[in-house]
Amino acid sequence: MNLDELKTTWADYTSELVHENEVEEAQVQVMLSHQPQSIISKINKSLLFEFSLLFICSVIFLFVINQYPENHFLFNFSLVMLGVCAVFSGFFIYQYKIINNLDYATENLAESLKKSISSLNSFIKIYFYSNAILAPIGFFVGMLFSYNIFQTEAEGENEGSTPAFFPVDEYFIFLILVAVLVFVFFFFFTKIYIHKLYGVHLKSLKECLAELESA
Amino acid sequence: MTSPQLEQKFTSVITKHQGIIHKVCGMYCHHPEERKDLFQEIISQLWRSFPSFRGDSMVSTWMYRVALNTAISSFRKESKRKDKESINERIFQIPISKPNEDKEEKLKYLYKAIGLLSKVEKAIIMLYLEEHSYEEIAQITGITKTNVGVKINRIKSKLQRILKPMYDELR
Repeated sequence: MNLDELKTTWADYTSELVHENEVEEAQVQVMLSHQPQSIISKINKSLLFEFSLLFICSVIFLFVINQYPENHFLFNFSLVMLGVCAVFSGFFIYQYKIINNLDYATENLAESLKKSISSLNSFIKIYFYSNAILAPIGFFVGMLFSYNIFQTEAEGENEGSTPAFFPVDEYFIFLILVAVLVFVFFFFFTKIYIHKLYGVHLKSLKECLAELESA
Repeated sequence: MTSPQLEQKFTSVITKHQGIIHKVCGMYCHHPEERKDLFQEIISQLWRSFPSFRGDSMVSTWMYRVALNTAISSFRKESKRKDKESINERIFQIPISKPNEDKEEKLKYLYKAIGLLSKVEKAIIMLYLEEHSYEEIAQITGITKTNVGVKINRIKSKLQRILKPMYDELR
């Protein structure tokens, strides 16, 4: 078989393929109403779910700040958590913007690949930092909160007391050690997880671009 | 233009030029289910970009651009079936109304040859097989005309190398 024969075979194959799979206008309209379950739409759903949870948490913390201003511990804790929620929200909004910016439509293949690589790189970075750094901080604040409750109960103080927010003792050092361990775990886990999720795809895009641009 | 009018215009354009999408799907996906998924994804991407399509380029150029970008860049899961399936298994999934032995053999070789090309090579050779000029291929891929020529020659040589033993086997 030579290349001319290949052209003929390709023409035969594609004409049969088009004939067998031909769609009517009504079918195209149905397709428009059913968005494909691509990974982007799945990521969007996941981001929306996480953002909703964060919003509910923020409302609860705002409620606590408003209702218990005299309880210093609850007030300070809610304020810190609200700050963490605000930072996470910023990350989510940024991630959402990046992932929905992956538009393959308007550019030629080379430009589209460059744009996809750049967007995916930014998405991976932001995903990594939000999970590898903020998650251990959230964990540390949570442990500190439980420690303060324990301390309050142990001291037999009444409700509404104002325990020290950052007690410097052995348990506090223990908390820092645990936070460091959690950080190390999250750092490597997130790295491996992100590589598994997006690393292969990113590598494939880079290879395609390199091949396209090579002379 | 109102949204229903835009949708009507879009469906009309897609129905008229749907062959382009089917051909891209046929080049990148062997399994009918995968072809169907990619077809829908390309339709979705075309719809997203349709409002910004001002007709500066030909409809076919715009459609090839979007379809190829989607096929190459999208986050589709790589098929696990691909490696497990033999060429013979694949051949039964190709919609040929009246298969004959010679045609089947040639299709088998076509599939084998295509399967050995990279994603970029598939895009370029498809445009070449569809009789597009070097200038059009350059517009769609974003590389220079000279580079298109170099790449086509390279792919041709690669295909010759792949197809020659098969051709000898046929004789």
